[in-house]
Amino acid sequence: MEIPYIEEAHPETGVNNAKLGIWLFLASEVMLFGALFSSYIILRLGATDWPSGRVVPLNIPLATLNTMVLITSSVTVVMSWASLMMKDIGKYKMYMGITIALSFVFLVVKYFEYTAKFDHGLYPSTSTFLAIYFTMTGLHGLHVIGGIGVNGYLLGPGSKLWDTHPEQFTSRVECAGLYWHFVDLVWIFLFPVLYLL
Amino acid sequence: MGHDAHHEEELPFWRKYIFSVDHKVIGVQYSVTALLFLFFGFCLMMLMRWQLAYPGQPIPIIGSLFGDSTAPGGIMLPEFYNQLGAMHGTIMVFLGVVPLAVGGFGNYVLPLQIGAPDMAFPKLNMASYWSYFVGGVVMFSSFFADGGAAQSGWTSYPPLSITAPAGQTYWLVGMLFLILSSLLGGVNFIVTTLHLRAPGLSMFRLPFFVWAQLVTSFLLLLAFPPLQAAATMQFMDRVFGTSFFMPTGLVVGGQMAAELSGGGNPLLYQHLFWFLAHPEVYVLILPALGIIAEIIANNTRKPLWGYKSLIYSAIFLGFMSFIVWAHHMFMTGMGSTMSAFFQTTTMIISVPSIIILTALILSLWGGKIRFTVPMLFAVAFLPMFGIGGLTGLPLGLATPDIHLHDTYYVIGHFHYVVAPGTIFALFAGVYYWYPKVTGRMMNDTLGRLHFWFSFFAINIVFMPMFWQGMAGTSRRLYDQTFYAHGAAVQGLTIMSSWGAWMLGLAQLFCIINFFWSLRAGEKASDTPWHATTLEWATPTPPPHGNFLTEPRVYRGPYEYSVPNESSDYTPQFEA
Amino acid sequence: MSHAAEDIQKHIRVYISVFVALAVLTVVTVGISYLDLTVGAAIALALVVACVKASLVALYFMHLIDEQKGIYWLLALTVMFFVFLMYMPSAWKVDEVKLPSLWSTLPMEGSAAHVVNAGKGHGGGHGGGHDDAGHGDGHGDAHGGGH
Repeated sequence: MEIPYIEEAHPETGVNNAKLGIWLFLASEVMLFGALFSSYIILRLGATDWPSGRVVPLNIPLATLNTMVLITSSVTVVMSWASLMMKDIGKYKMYMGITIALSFVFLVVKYFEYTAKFDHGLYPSTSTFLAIYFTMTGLHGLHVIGGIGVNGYLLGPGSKLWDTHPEQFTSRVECAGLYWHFVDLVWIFLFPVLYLL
Repeated sequence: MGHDAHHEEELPFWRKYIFSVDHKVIGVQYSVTALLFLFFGFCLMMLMRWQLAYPGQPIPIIGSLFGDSTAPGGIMLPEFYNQLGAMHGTIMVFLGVVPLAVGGFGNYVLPLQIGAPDMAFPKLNMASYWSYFVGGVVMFSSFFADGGAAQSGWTSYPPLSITAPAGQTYWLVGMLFLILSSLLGGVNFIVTTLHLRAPGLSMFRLPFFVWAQLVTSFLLLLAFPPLQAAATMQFMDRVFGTSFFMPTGLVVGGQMAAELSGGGNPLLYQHLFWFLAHPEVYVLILPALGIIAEIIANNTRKPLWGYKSLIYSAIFLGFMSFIVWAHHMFMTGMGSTMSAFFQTTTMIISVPSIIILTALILSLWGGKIRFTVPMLFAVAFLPMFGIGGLTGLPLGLATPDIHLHDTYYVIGHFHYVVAPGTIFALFAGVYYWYPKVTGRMMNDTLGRLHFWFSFFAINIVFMPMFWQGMAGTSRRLYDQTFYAHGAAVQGLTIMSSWGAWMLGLAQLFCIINFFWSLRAGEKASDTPWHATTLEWATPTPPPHGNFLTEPRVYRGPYEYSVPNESSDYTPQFEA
Repeated sequence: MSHAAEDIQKHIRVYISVFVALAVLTVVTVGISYLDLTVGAAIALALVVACVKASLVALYFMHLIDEQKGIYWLLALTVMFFVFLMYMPSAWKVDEVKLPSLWSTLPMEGSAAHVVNAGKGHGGGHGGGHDDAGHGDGHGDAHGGGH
């Protein structure tokens, strides 16, 4: 007996196994980042002084750039899926490659941001705001690295599956895309909350 | 994925038995590892009980094995007592009960009961086990860290846990691996249950065991991440000197903690911790209720009473479990609005629990009861869980909780639910499914001896604790006789300790039985209990891929003693 | 989920439009943060814009708009628990009992409070009643539950 619904959608849920699985995983990630946002609210409500993103100051132009970088990478990852749907493996590789490149840009910008803080003697231990800033953006950054790993695999050795099971491969790319969009989503909230408010 | 199934016979040993993707192998791996941890956690407790019963006395027989950092001259140091306490709780909950109930029984039985060839994501399943294994190794190795293992309670409240020795950091890292394991497992179980059911197996024809595991998986999926966040923040506090949980003006060991930025909030940790830890207790009980339901239906030879109410109650219970957590925090200075809210939700959540227990008890009525060894444990579970549940009620109301919070009453309450509750259910499950896994029956006499000695001893351990708690004896005390009110009930402490050592001896019957029966047990047929559910449709033990032909389901899960049928059971899978 | 090629072309047009919308909204987010608003209004507006952006990503990039209700139920469940997680602890902060100044006038022998509180009536003991960050902690050891 083979495992069913690897490619075709189950009639009751409307999705295949991988897609249901990734949405469930994303639900748990919502709770993870939710807990951190909740912690941010509690710590801020309880603080006498709160050196916020404006006060530290955090680098808003760089962060805005990073926001655009991630949004663009979201477009390119969904375009890579669309290319597979149109059976164009060449375009798929191009878009996936751009997605990964943009992810690296994001990380490099983050690296500059972090080192600039450290150079000014601003560490997570300096204030509760910086603690939550470094923890949330750091955890987000780890998720970006994870995404690079998955997307890199799907661009590289994983892409061989296209030759034998193209539908299954397309489904995998779609699921990786869902994860990547979530990473973008988290940043969409992180950016205003940490940098602007 | 599926094409691996055909090459099963050609796999090398390490891929067939060590890094296997077969849910049955993984289920056995989880079970064996969990049983070893349960044994280890039990031994930690037996050590603690010596110190409690005879404070300051050298540990007999094995006292000389301990070094000067733990028990110089065999006399337990307070720090070591605290390590034993924190690790006993952590190991039993996170390394023992949940991995056995969910990782072990869930993994092995669930795909079989739904007629699936394996889990939806076999490789992810393997990753879940190894993540648990790594977490377990990290936790275990914390005993060898400088300063010993975690010693701030299984709850690890800051600021104490932030200032604790290195073992606490091991605890945090171990937890991250264990949580990851549960998250991946939760995803797998849900997709498997929703997508991989055999033709004809609608959701309302599923055995209650499967429903229980499904609700449990949602709890694991959605409740664990806040603890991950909390563990990460505690790690940051310990290792990077942040002040998530360290308040302004904290004094540690007589000195102001001036190097900290302050501004943190210890109660933040408690909220995040209990947001998980309350659903966690339902993770501990739901799979057990599932096992008991199967065994009761099978051994009364009649359908379960109130099948649908069992399912709806389990779903409602799972949902409510997310909004009761602060009943663990009544004593933290919360205002009356919050207190009223959490008392109300806590009282409401007792309703589905009572419905489930009542349905199981009513299921006995009018049955042709066979007192097999699994049934002995299952029937004993019912009043034991009743005691555990009822004693929770005064704790869920803020006013009596003022008196009972952090006393031995709490320890008595939760142990009744988990020990003669869940663990008895797990024993029942072991005796029940052992024939399917191994092809042999466990020895009946040894099983009965195991049951009766355990049942007797376990009540001796835990019943006195309610009186101790009401007398005011605090928990986590290295020496209860330090206080006059504790000394006054020391007789109960000694009674509990002797009960615990008797309980330890009683387990020998099971351990011997387990290994002896592997070789010399009576050979089991494919369906030794004459049960109706799908796991009994496979060969014994089930091969890779489980079913020889794709099963089809024709009826509900508990068609026992159907009128006008020649046999007293009509399996789901027979046309 | 098999789409014909023209279908995909339509999807691509949608993706590009969403991208443009997201870019514009990002600029809007930064722009409105420089406006002179009350704290409440600033937070509300920032979150509203973020929610709009998030919805666009979820509905169109993540194809939620094409999915059946199963996924919506899962998300609704998650959002509900997320709301509890966000709201409850904050509500607790507001509802927290402010312990009476009695505590601060009972310093223990030899403690720092003993020296600090000589002559002080109110709020000295636990690091200032309005030092809310440490609010739970001064009395946290006594009955903060746990140890």
